[in-house]
Order: sequence, then structure tokens, then C-alpha cells
Amino acid sequence: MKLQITRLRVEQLRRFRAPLELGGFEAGLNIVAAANETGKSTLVRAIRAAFFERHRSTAVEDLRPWGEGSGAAPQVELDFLIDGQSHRLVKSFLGKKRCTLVAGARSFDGTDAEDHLAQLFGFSFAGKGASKPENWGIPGLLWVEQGRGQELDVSHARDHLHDALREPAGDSAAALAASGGDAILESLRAQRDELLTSTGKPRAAHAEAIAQVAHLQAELGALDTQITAYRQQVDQLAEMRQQHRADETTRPWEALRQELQAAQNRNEALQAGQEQLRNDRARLHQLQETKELLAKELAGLAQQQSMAQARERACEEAAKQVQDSDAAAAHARQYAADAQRRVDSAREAWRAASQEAQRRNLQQLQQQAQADAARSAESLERAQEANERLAALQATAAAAPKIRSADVERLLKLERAERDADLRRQAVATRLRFVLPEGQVLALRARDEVHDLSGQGERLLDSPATLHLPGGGELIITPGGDDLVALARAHGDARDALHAALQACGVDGIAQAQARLSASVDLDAQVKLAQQALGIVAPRGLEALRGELAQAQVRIATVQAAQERLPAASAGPALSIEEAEAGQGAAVAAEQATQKTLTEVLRRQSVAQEASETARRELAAAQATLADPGRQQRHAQASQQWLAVGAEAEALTARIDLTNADVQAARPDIVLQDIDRLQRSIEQVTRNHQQRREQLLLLENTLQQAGAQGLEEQREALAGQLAQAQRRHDDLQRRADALTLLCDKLEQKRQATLTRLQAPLQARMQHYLPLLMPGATVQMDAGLAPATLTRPNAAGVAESGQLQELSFGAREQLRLISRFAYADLLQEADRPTLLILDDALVHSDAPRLAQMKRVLFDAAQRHQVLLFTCHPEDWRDMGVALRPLT
Amino acid sequence: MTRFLHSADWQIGRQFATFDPEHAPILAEARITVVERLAALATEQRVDAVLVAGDVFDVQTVSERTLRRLFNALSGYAGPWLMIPGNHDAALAESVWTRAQRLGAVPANVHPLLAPELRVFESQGFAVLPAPLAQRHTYNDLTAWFDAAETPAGMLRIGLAHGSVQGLLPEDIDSTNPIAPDRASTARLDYLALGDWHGCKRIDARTWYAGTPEPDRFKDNGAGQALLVDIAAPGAEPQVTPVAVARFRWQSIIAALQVASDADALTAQLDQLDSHDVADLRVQGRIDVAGLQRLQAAIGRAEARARHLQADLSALRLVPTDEDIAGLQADGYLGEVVQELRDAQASHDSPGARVAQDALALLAGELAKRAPAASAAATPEGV
Repeated sequence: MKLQITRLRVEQLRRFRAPLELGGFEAGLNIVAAANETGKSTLVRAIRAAFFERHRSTAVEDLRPWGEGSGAAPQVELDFLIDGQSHRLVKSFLGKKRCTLVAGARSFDGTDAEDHLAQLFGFSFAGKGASKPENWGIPGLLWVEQGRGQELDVSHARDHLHDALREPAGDSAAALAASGGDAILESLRAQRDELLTSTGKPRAAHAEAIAQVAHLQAELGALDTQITAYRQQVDQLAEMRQQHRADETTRPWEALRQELQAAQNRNEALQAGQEQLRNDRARLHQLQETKELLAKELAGLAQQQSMAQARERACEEAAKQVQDSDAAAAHARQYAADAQRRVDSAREAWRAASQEAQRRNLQQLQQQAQADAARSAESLERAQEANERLAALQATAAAAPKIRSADVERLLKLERAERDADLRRQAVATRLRFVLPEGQVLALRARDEVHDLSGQGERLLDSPATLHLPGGGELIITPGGDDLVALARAHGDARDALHAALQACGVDGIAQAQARLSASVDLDAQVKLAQQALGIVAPRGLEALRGELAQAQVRIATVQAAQERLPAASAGPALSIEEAEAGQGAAVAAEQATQKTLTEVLRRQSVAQEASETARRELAAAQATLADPGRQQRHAQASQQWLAVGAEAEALTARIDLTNADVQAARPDIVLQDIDRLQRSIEQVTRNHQQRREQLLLLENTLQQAGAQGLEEQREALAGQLAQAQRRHDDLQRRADALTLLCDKLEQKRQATLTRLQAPLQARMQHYLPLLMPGATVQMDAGLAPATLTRPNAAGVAESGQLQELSFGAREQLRLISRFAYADLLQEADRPTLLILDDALVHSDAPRLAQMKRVLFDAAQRHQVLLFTCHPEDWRDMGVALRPLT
Repeated sequence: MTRFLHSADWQIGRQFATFDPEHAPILAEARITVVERLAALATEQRVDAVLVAGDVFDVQTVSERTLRRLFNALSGYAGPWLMIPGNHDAALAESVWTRAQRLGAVPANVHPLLAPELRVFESQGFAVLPAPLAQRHTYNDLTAWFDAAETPAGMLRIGLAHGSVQGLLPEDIDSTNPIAPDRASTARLDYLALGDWHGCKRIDARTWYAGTPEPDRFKDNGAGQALLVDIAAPGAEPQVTPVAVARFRWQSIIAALQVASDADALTAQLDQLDSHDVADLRVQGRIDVAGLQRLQAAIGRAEARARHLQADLSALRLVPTDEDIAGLQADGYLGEVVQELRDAQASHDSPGARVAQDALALLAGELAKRAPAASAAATPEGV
């Protein structure tokens, strides 16, 4: 249904005491631009009151003009077209409560009018009190109050939206099922959550049932184990009893005992045989020992004989040795003497050579010493000369008057000073220059001195002077200048000083001083030179040289003396000392060798003699032994015994062999084993029997106790419990499965329905959204309000975020867009869709505002929009005139 | 004339632990009280001996208390009780019999015949040939020695054995040990008292199974009786009279439901159960929602009245009618879910069918709870 408001008139409403009328509203966008506090929001309030508030309402005090009393009657008139049919609504409150609606030909009054409006526009009235948001329905959604654009509460208009949505989709009663279905789903979920956790695991009673089943199964298993053990023990008891009885009857130990006895008898017999064997063997052993002793004895006797013979031979041998060694000794002695002689001669030769060498040596020394002496004398001479020269120079130098260079310097200084003083005096002094002709003489008196001036010359006057003119006149000249006197004095002082100094130095003049100085310097230089020369010649001094000379002479004397002491040279060729030494060495070595040989030979000789002595002694002893008579007797006895013993041993050996064979055949070791085996078997059998008896008693006891527990009865009871627990578990499991299936199915279906429901709304949103945010999509929640925004970020990746988290401005923009989408859908469902925007988009920046204006313009093609703003400058480009509030 | 009371398979010590803990003790107790009744019967009928053909006890390790109670229950008859061990209470090296003897619980007039030896009762004029079981599992005919056994002249030859007569009984008999079907004649027995088969059964004129005096299985095979045996003289044919001694009536009810009237019939049957009934109910087939509710109500009532009722409805398929579905008022996607669940449970064998059925039942329950609210939900908030 197409709705268009055409005229609005308010009277006695807040600031509008006088009526205000706005007419000529257009079908699309209408912009009312006015400054703050001019009543824009009041007008919006007026429209809202005209629809939402009952004319009888007492909650409309805010409509009363300020300061008015109870007589005020705020009134609103509204002309609008619905599908071309004109309607007029007149409503007044408080002072005059009235409401009329004229719809074409029909007219409504009071409550009827209001109800008709409510039904037409899709809202409701509050039961009592002021109209609240839950009453506002469709207009509440589309009429945006100031500062509320960023909020969006769809819940109060949801049923209208559902109705609007479902008709195109053709889902009959989808809305009804949606609300009823939710409650059922909640209930089923709650029941499911009693049994299952969120991940589908059993919990609470269900889990307990499972645990109980497991627990009982375990107990049953344990009990079964016990019962099985009991039964096994019963069987064991039967078996053991049987074995015991069998043993009692057969008594196996008896047979074994008999066998044992037989074996023991056999054993005894064998023992006897072995005893005999042992005795025989012992006897045999004895015989053999005896035999051995006899053999030894006989052997001993025989040996004595042979020993004696050996001795004889040895003796002969020793004698021979002695002879040999004597010969060798004589020989060696001879050699030794020869060697000695050779050594002596070699020594002699060496001595001679040595003397010769010494002589030569001494001669050499003598020559050397003489040379040295000569040299020394020469040096000494030269040194003495130099010394004398030096002495002379030194004397000269000593004699010369001395003057120091410092003194000379001083003299020079003084002279200079004197001259300076003079010059100064002269400079200051008056100069008298005279040129006198020949013969003219003038007398000048100055300082009591008379000077005669003649010829040409110059005179300095530093004191008043009188010049006697020829002819008796006088010129008294008083030289000017201050210090002439002083200067003269100074000059005089300087001159005196100079003279004093000259005298002190003992010279007459500077020149003499200087000459003296240079002379002394000269002398010094000469002295130095002479010293140097002396130094060269006699570096250590004269005495040293003299000393050297004396030494050299001593040496000569010594050598000469030594030479005289030497004996005369021997005749014959003199060998060199080396040859002589070599010869001596060789001779000495040879002599030593022969000595060694001699020693050795002598030693051998003595050894041989000793040996011979010993041999002779032994021979004597051995022969004595042989001669002993007792010996023969013993020999005979021993032989006899030997034969006897041998016979007996043979016989015994034969008997032993026989007995041994018998015993071995009887296997005594095996018999012993038999005895051992049988004894052990008997022991074991009896012990087994005893043990079994004990075990039987034990087992019987155990079974009695176990039997008293009534295990099988218990088991049956437990099995019953388990069956019941199992049933309970199955029941709960079935219930859980059914609930899970139901919940899943219902949720699935619900979601599908919701998606289908939301599709048209989603589509309308996408009509507007790209104008504001390209590439963005928005997801609606179950309440048909926009919840999530997905758009590509700077990197081009899609990002999702909750609408709630966006900025104020973005939220207002998006929620305004949503309203346009709702309006589109409602219009398709033939509901009236008037949009009122009071001061919208004030928090949008310029680009966004521009985008939103495009959106708004588009929406205004389909719906009437009343836009109230206090920023006319923002809205001049909408293609409609901005109407003021006048 | 000699008169015997023949019973067997008392199965003392059986707990019925799979039953409800309220009912089980009563059923267990009933097994002992029936012995007392047997004793009273024996005294009243002035029998010469009571023959108990095996399985006196259900397990070897019954509790001491149970043991003593059983032997005490025999006190109602002062004459000889002749018992042989069966396969449940075989005479092993250590058995319930040795325990009883050790405890001194066996009265003098009770004779456990644990060895296959002749027992002569001179004063009563009969000799008993017992075939006791001495192993847990016996595979040979223990009555074979009867043929060669000699009894004093003029004495009745009474055989007492426990096992399955070859060739005449169904395969699901309890024990394995066979008994020759003509043993009574080959051993020249006047009467062969058998045990192991829990129902009362005649094999031939001289060979009978007495069955258990108090039934313990749902199978209906004539259990709950004892036999009075009158033998006039050696060689005469025995007169056997079954006597009902049981307290409880065990029965197995199997119902197949196809149409609504089937369910009604079953309900009526259930309503007949009283405090002497021990029943096992198995229901299969199909039923709608309302019918299921009625059936469950009937089962609930019957459970309260009967001594014990166990019901198994696992084979029963819940098939909601279209009215049921409409009644659920499941709109939109709820309706779709309901339809899917109906389809899923149509295929019986898949495990999903079971779950789908349960799910459908749950959903139906939820919708039913909300049905009143749904009808009031059409408020004018902008219809």
C-alpha cells in the first residue's frame, strides 16, 4: 500500500502555541531544514503521538505548551494518502480529548479510529500508561528518533516482518512453527543435556548407569573367578584323595626298601673284596721299596770301584799339566826382560830430543827479549825527549805572565766604556775647532791646564775654558749641556777604572793584554801538543817504559843463565821429540803386554801344581776304601736279598691282578649309586605321601570356609542386579539417542527455514550495502537483525566482525540501510512504509555521507521519507528543496 | 501296599535375581514353603517314604541359612526322605551334601544317597537303587548298574535317578547324562522315580518324572505337581496320582497386535492376572499412539496386581495414524520432522528405526504438552 503524508498541522503543542502547518509533502524525499530548537523534534513527536498515543492517554503531558494549564489541548492534524485515497486524522489530547479519522467516505471516531490506524499501520496500543517500544510495530522500526539511528530493535516488528517474508516464500505457518518450535527445541535440548554433555558424552544419571554396569560386571567377574577357583579346588580335592588312597593301598616304599636291602648286601660283599685288594697292594708296595734300597746299595759298591780308577787317571793328567806350565813360565820371563831393555833405550832417546828442543826454545826467547829491550830503549829515548820539550814549554808557560781571557774581556769592556764616556763627553762637550795660520798659537786654559792650540785641530771643552787671544783678550767658553760635568766625571771614572784594571793585570795597555793572552793561549796549545806527543810515545808514562826496559833486560839475563845450565848437545842424530815420544810409548806398551803374559803363565803354573797335589791325595783315599774287607761281605748279602724280594713281588702281583678283575666286573660304583638312588626314592615317596596328607587337610579346610560364603547364591543376586543395571542403561541410552536425533533434526530444519526466511531480506540488504561498502556482505541473525559484517580488508582477505563492535557512525549507516531493506520488504507485502529520519547521519564523514545520500535517494524512489536536519548545507544535493519551518 | 511321594528338582537356593527385588524373595521363599507343603502332604497321605530325584539344591554354595532352612522344612514328615544328588548339586569331593553333613544339619530321617549302592528299608519293605551324580558333567548312563543289582526277595525295587531319558524328551533338557528308556524293565524295577525334567511326565507305566513342585520357568509343561505312587506288591503296576502343590501360576503371554481389537483382547487378558500369577509378556506387531497408551496403562495395572509381570514391547512398532499426526499440530518444519521420523521407523530392521520410533514418541509427547498453548497462541499481534 502506498502511503504518502501530504499535510501536517499542529496547534497548542509545546512551542507551537499558534498553529503551524506544513503542507505539500511529496511522495519521495522531503527535507525539513531548520536551526536548533526550532521544533523539528517536536513535530516528529507530534506525528508519533498522533499515531501511538490514545487520545485519552494521560501520559502525554510533554505535549502541553510550556506554562499552560489544564485548559491546553494539543492538537495534531495529519492528511495522508493511502493508495491514492485521502485520509485525514485529527487528534487532540489533554484539555480536549478527541480523535477522528476520515478515510475516504468512511469516518471513525475515538477508539475505533485509533484501532483502525493501528491495524492499518502495523502497531498496537499500550494497555495503560505511555506507549512503549513494544507497541510501535512497523512505524517503530521505520521512524528513527533523534540520536537513535545506531540502535535497531527488530523484535517488536518481527512478526510483521515474518509475515512479510513468508508470503513470497509460500511457507505456510512457518512463523507459527518458528516460535512454537523454538520452545519445543529448548525443552528437548534441556532433556538431552540432562543425559549428555555438550560433546555428546554421557553425564549424570546416564554416566552413572554406565559406571554401574561396568562396576557390577567387574564384581561379577571377580565372583566368577572365585567360583571357578572354588570348583577347581573341589576337583583338586577329589584327585588328591584318589592319589592318596592309591598310595595307601600300593605302599610303594615297601618294594623300594627290599631293593635297597639287596643292594646293600651286594655292596658289603664287594667291600670285602676291595679290602683284600688293598692289603695286597700295600704289601707289594713295601716289597718294591725294599728292592729299591738293595739296588741302591749294590750300585754304591760298584761305584766305589770305578771311582778309584778315575782318580788314577786324574793324577797322571795333573802331573803332565805341571810340566807344561813350567816350560811356559820360563819362556815368558825371557820375553819380559827383552821388553824392559827396549823401554829403557826409548827413554834415553826421548830425553835427548827433549833437551834439544829446550835449547832451541831458549835461544828464541833470548832473541825476543833483546828485541824487546831495544825497542823499549828507543821508546824511552823518545819519551824523554818529548818530556823535556814539554817541561820546557811548561816552564815557559809558567814564566809567561798570565792573563786570563776574562780579564782581557773586562779590559776591553772598560776600554769601551771609557771611550763611550769620552764620546758622550765630546758630544756634549763644546767642540772647538781651530784653524790657525802658521805661527799662530793660542793658549787655551781648561781645568787649570793650558793647552796651546796651533795648526788645525779640534778640541772638546767640557768645562769652562779660557781661550787667550793674542793680544791679551780672552774668550771664556762655557760649554753647555747639563751633565757635562757629570759626563766628564764619568769619563774620568772610566779612565781610572781602566787604568786600575790595566795595572791589576799587569799590563800597560789593552794591546799588551791581548798579546799576552794570545801568547798564553799559544803556549797552552803548544803544551797540549807536547803532552799529546808524549802521550803517544809513552802512553803509560815514562816510568812504565823504563820498567819495560828493565824487564826485558832481566829476561835476557834469565835466558842466558838457563842456556848455560843446559848440558852439552849429545852426539848422534837427534830425533824430534814427537818421534821420541812415539817410540817410548810403543816400547812401554810392549813391555806391559809381556808382563801380563808372564803373570798369567805363572798363575797357571801354580794351579797345575796344586791340582796335581790334590789328585795324588784323592787317589790315595780311594785305594784305601777299596782295600776295606767289610765291603765284600756287604756286597754278597745285598745280592742275595735282591733275588728273594724279586720272587715274592712277582707272586703278589699275579694275585692282585686276579682280585682286581673280579671286583671291577661287579661294578661297585654302580652298586653305590643304586643304594643312593633307592634311599632317595624311598625318602621322596614317603615325603610326598606325608605332604599330600597335609595338603588334603589344608584343602578341605579351605573349601569348608569357601563353601560357607555362599558364593553361587551371591553370584545369582549380583547377576540380577547387573541385568537391571543393564536395562536401565539401555533405557537411558535409547532416550539419549532419541533426544539427540530429535534435536539434530529440529535444529537442522529450523536453520533451513530461517535461511529461507531471511533470503529476501538478505537480498534487499545487498541492494544497498555495496553502495556504502563495496564487496561487503552482512549476515542476519535469527531475529532478522543484521549481526555480522564481512568485507575484504586492506590485503583483500575477507574479514568478519560483529556489527555491534563497529563505530557509532558505521553502525548508524548500516542500521539505516537495514531499515530501507525492511521498508522494501514491507512494501512488497503491502504494508505502509513511511520513513522519518530525525537528524540522521550526523556522525558520518563526508565520503560516507555522500554514499549514504545516494542510498537514501534510491530508497526515496520507493518510499516517502521525511528528513529533519539542522545542517542544510549537507543536504543541498538531494534534488529536493529544503523547506524551512515557518 | 506301599505308598511313596515322588518329587524332584526343588532347586532350593534359586534367587530369581533378574526379577524385581520386591518379587524375587517371595518367589525364592515359595520354593521352601512348597517343601513344607510336601512334608505336610506326605504326613497326611501317610506315605512310606518320600523320593526326591535330584537337584534338591540349585547350586553347591548355597548360604548356610538356606541350607538349614531346607532341612528344617523336612521336619513336617517324620518318615524317610530319600534324596540323590542331581547335576546342580552333584556329590563332588566337596559339595553341599558334605557341607550339610559337616554342619550337622541333616536330620536322621533324611538319607542323602551319595553312592551308587543299594539301600534296603526292611521295615518298609523296599530297596532303593540310587544313581547319584558325582561329577559336574556326566555323559554315561549311571543307572546301568541297576540291571545286575540283587535285592532281597519280596522287597520292592525302587529306582531313583536324575537325567534325560534318551530319545523321548526335547533337546533343551538340562543335564547331559542319559538314561535308557527301558531301564525299569531291564532292571526289574517296580518304579523308577526320575528328576531333571521340570514338568510332570509319564515315560511308561513304571517310569515317571515328577517335575518341580513349584514352577520356576515360564514354559507351561505341567510343573507344580508331586506324584503319589501306590504299589500293591512287588511286580504290581504302580498307581500314580499327580497332586497339585504349587502356589504360583507361571505363564508366558505372547501377543501379536495388528488391529485395535487385538490390543483390547490383550488388555482384557492382562486384567485377569491376580496375585498368584507370574507372567512373561511379549508383544509384537503394530499399534498407534492411543492404543499404546492404553496398553501401557493395562500393563501398569497388571504389574501391580500380579506376583510378577515382565513385559517386553521391543518388537512392537509404534505407527501413528494420520489423526495422531494431525492431532499433534506440528506445523512447518516440525511437521517435516514428524514425517521423516515416521518414514525412518518404517524399515524395521535398521537400528535407526528403533531410535526414530523413540524420537517420534518423545516429540509427540512434547507437542501434546504444548497443544493447549498452541491453540491460544493466535493472539492479535498483527495477524
